[in-house]
Amino acid sequence: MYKIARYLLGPAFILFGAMLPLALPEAGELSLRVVDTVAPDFTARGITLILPEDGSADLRIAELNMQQRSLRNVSIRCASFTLSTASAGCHGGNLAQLPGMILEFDYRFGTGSWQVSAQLHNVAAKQLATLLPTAMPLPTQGELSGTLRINGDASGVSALDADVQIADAGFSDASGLHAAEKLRGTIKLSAARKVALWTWQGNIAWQSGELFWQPLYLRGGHQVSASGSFDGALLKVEQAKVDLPEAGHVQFAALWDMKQSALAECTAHGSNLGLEKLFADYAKPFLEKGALADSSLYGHADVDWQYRDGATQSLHLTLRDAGIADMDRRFALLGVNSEIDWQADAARTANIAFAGGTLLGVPLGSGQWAVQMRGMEFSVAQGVLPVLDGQLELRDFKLHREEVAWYWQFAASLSRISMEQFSQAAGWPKMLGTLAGSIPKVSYDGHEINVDGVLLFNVFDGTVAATQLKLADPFGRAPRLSGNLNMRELDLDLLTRTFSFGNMQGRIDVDVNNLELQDWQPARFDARLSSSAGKYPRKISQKAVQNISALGGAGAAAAIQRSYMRFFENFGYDRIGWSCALRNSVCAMGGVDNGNGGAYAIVKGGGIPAITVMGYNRTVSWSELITRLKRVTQNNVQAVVK
Amino acid sequence: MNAMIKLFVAVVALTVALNVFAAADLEVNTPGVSAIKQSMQARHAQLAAHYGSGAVGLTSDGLIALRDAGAVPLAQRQAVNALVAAENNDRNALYAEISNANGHPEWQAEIRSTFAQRWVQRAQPGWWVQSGGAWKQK
Amino acid sequence: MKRIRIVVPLTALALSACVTINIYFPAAAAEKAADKIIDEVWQTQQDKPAAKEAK
Repeated sequence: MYKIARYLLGPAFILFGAMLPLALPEAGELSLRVVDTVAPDFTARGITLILPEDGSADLRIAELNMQQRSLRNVSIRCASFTLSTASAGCHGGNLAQLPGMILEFDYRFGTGSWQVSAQLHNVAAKQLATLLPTAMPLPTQGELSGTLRINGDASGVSALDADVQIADAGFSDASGLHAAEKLRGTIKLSAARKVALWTWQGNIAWQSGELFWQPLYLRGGHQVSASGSFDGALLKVEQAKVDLPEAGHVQFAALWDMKQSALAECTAHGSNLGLEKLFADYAKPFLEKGALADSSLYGHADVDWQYRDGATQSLHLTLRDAGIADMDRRFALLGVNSEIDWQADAARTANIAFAGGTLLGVPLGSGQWAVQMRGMEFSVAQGVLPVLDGQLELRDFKLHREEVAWYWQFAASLSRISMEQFSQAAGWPKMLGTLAGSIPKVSYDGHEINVDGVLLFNVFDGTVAATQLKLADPFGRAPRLSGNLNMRELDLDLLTRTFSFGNMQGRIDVDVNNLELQDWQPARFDARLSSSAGKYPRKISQKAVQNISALGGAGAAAAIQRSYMRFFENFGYDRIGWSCALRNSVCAMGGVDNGNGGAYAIVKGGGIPAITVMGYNRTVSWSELITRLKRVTQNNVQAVVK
Repeated sequence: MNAMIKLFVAVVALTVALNVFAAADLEVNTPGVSAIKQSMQARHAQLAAHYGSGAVGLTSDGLIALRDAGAVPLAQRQAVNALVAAENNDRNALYAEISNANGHPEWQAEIRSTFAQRWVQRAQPGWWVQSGGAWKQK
Repeated sequence: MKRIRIVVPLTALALSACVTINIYFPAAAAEKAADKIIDEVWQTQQDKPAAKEAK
């Protein structure tokens, strides 16, 4: 990419231009004026060579232009200069601009072959900045030591050798997005050309320091050794070995198309790679923000990867105790062992065994799934995922990729899971009963998750049916959920015990239609709660009456029948009814029936002793209602009537 | 009688004026806007230091940009890049959400430019803001 | 009384006329809304009373 070699070669050519003796010798000194040298890559003007009698030489160039760089008054002093009919040579050369570098060069007139070499002794890297093109990151600090040697003949450079030690070096480009600090290490490179084909081998041992090459941030401890060839169009890496700190060794061979700046072919192999470091350091920075970018990988893997014709041809993965978990541990799958032999154009089956995991805090058990793979189509005919004391049975899971988006679908059924354990694991209030249900078909088309049919669950000894469920933009900024929830014959006893609302007995039906959640906050719904049909004991405790009254706001309801209420722990009722239509953060409420005038009955009395709870407020702000509900269920409202 | 009618008209006119004012208020209390706002507020705790150091500046199109990566240690540069990208995602979403929530998606450009001016005007002294393509320190 | 009857349709007219104002971008309201959001995001609201107290 950056033609460093060409710049370093520049001064070497100049000397071999035509020399015209011009100035008169002065005290045994010979001064030669050299014609201006103009080449596509550089121009040199005002060149003089001064040869004192002591065998040394001074080469001065008034103006040197190399591509966009311009240097003035370049001066090279050779401690010993030899010039004969056969050769010209400079030994112990010093460049005023680069103290610490000793230059040697040798030119054979007969063969046209030449050699330039440089010995670096703690040369300040910063001084190289003037020789390098401004487009590349420029050295800002540090020192270089070692040797550089370039051989060539009339047809150009034929061999290049470099062995450079870098100490505390740093560089940065103008934007600061490609920068390094305190680099320490060695670079060895040797390359030789035969006609048009270069063969090369190199080794970079990076001991310490830090590098930021957007978006990668790496620390020292890396080592690369590689060899290959280059024919001007294709860069071939025949054998390369990379040591990645804490991740392992990767061997690869590759073919890089220089003209298209693209990978043409690659095979890579790594044994027992540490997935955690490998993913965190080398893959995560490239991922867009999303579920995977917030995750960590664990365990070890053997990888064999073949890439050709712009696509992965095969990937052989052996996972050993591998795992994935998101940052907040909402989702984790651990102890994954599998031998996956994926082929782009052949069907394969992979058996994936996992030891366990968590989903929203709920522990998952171990299992083994057979995954059918056919190119970018993956399917699981049947898989069992143990959840607490029950299990989720997955059917017809299909995952496929079309262009850039992933599509998936599945059906599932959930066998009886203890609600008590489930609610505790999920961090919800302790609920009683069992959770069971069936999920007919869930599909994702790249934009929306749709549930076809009726999602059915058994909770609180009743049923919950969810229909027309749709989750738009599920992985985006503000997911929108819409659907209808219809609950039948929920046991009020279980329900009120769960939410410490004060005991109520009976059964209720709850309908939440036209539900719309934005970013999981209710934006609209039409909710209606009413006593189920049928015969069953109907009782409401004093505390529950208090709490329902408190929901209606302070004052009005709190005063209801205070006088005789205190004599009884429980009351009979005939019907319970309450409705709320949420629009624009305001809930429009109603009771058992529409009531008359401003008042409506929430609990309609029946039996002995009977109680009727009336509501007077027709509208309440949603946030206010939630605050009241929280206050009530957190037991902050005590039954103070006694 | 005449005076009373005048008073009545004045009161009606005043109410009408108030009504117009109320109607012209922009709705910014939707769950979408709140979610974006909360996420931006949480992020600001991290971004504030970078505004102060000059690493990040406010652009004239209502977004933010990495102005001087050199002001951030190497190890944190990608994190700052990610912060800037996430903030700009939120800001774009905010402008779109406000215009959609008010039933005028075509207002998005004007809402963006209003915000752009206000962000810049309300930036703290020492922060860098873009004006006419060049960076200026407030 | 007669005059008041005239006033009422006039008011209605004025009201309906005012509705058309909404088509235009409410620049002042947008600025107010922007300031409100900026206050919350930058949490500058809390700073202001504190500054006043300091004085």
